[in-house]
Amino acid sequence: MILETIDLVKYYGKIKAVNKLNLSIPEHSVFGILGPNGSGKTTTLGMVLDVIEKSSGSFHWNIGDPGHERRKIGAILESPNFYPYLSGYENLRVVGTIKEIRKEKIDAVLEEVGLYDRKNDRFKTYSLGMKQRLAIASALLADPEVLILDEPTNGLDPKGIVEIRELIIAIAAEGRTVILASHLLDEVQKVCTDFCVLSKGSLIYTGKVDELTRQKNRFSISAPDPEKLVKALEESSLINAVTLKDNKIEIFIQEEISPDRISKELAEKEIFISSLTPITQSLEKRFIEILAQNESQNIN
Amino acid sequence: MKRLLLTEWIKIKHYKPFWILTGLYFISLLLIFAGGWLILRWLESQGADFRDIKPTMLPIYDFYDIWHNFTYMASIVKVIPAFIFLILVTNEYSFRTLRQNIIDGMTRKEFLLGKIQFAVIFSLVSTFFIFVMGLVIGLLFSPVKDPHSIFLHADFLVGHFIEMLVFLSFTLFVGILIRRTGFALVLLFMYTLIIEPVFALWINYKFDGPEMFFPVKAINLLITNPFSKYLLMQTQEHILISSIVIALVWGLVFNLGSYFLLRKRDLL
Repeated sequence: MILETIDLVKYYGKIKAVNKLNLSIPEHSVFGILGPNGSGKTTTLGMVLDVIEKSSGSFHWNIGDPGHERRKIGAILESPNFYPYLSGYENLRVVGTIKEIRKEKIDAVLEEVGLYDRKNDRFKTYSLGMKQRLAIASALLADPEVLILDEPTNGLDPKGIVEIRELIIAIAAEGRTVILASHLLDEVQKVCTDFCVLSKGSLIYTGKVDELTRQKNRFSISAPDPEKLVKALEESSLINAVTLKDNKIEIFIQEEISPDRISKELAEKEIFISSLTPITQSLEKRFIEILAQNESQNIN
Repeated sequence: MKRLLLTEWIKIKHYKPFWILTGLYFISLLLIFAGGWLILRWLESQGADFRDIKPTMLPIYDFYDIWHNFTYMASIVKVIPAFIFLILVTNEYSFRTLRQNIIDGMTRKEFLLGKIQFAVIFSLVSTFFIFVMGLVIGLLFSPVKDPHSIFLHADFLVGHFIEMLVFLSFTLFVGILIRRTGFALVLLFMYTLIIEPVFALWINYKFDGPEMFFPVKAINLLITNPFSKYLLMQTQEHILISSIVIALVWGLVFNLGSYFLLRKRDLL
């Protein structure tokens, strides 16, 4: 585990923003923290980044030298904070000095995010997209072992959103851990391997995105002659069940049978299928289910 | 150590208001140093005399008086460096860069140490400037120029350093406490110029004597008014050890207070 929190609690006055949170984030995962607004996502990230004082509990980072963990973390938060009167380059000099990075590295990351031409212009002259790109450059400066993003696509145009997504995928491909807090479920489903759901400061679900959204042996199938297809499927020993719903044929195949065997068997009966696709459920739907389950449990 | 100073240096290197205000401070010092003589000339032209001594005859630029005179004059404009420093500190809140520095890997202690180191360097530069100015003006105007006389009361330079450092520590504390530039500025100057003097006066009237323990008073008591001696009044011509101790204790209290506030509060 790269980050573990143990019974983490945060009160703002009388309001409990985070309630005995036990979170385990595996190394090399792309971990999504989901939850409605006000569920404690940002507060949790604030605590593990040491800008918000925890009320009780503890957390442990498994990176870098003890005491200097944050130097090996890159963070892109909702609004980029830099010295407005300094140039992009000088701002990264501040970050580099704190993280003890050679200044030769700065030009390389500015090049990477496409800000090299504007590196000597002051931060306050940048557009929002450029500010966010400087934040990315700053996060990449230390070759971070963990990249933390808090609602990174808020206020970005579609191109910016795609850039952020590509960045997450690239970082993950290098085997680094990414922690992403978002209320955009679609975003999480596209990039995350693991996720958790927070509600009112409590952890109500944690698991793998795959397991939740994909049902391994459930497929939808179609062919030019549906009746013939259904008959053949019902006769097949590879298939456990066939259902017909709104002119769509769904099948549950036996486990450990790969879909190409079905297509082969049907082809032998001179049925040529036009599609065979695994059925996945959107994270959005599951998310709402999980929240609803949690609600009803709370009521009972 | 070097890393923290380097960070502070990058933050101010291209910050124009810092350099303009710092320039203004040193120009103000020059003006009041030179102005002493201009005022005496003006008094003379108005026909004033001090017990039959012409004002321009007063040895304000003579060694070793010059150190006491200059450091006292400098203490009048110490609000300018405080103003500069307060802006630098509260900027870190309004730009949310203190929060960002911490996220990037700085500890709160390092942040505070960086600012304290900045205050030390600024106080040293200010002291050095007064030393050079005193040396130049003294060598031009003073009738005595032997090394013994020149350096006899250079302890006032140490006094200036402590005065500046403790006052900047006070400023740092106010900046961290209030966080907003405007409010902090008003509070700093209201406290320094009105609240404490009035309160101290009242306390002193009631209990006789404890005003020397108030922070601003303690800072001001390091270097007392030297000009009274020209009116043949009794004048304290050295720095009291007790004043140094009280001022340094306040410096420590302010910096520990700043650390406590930084440690306790969320950086939103």
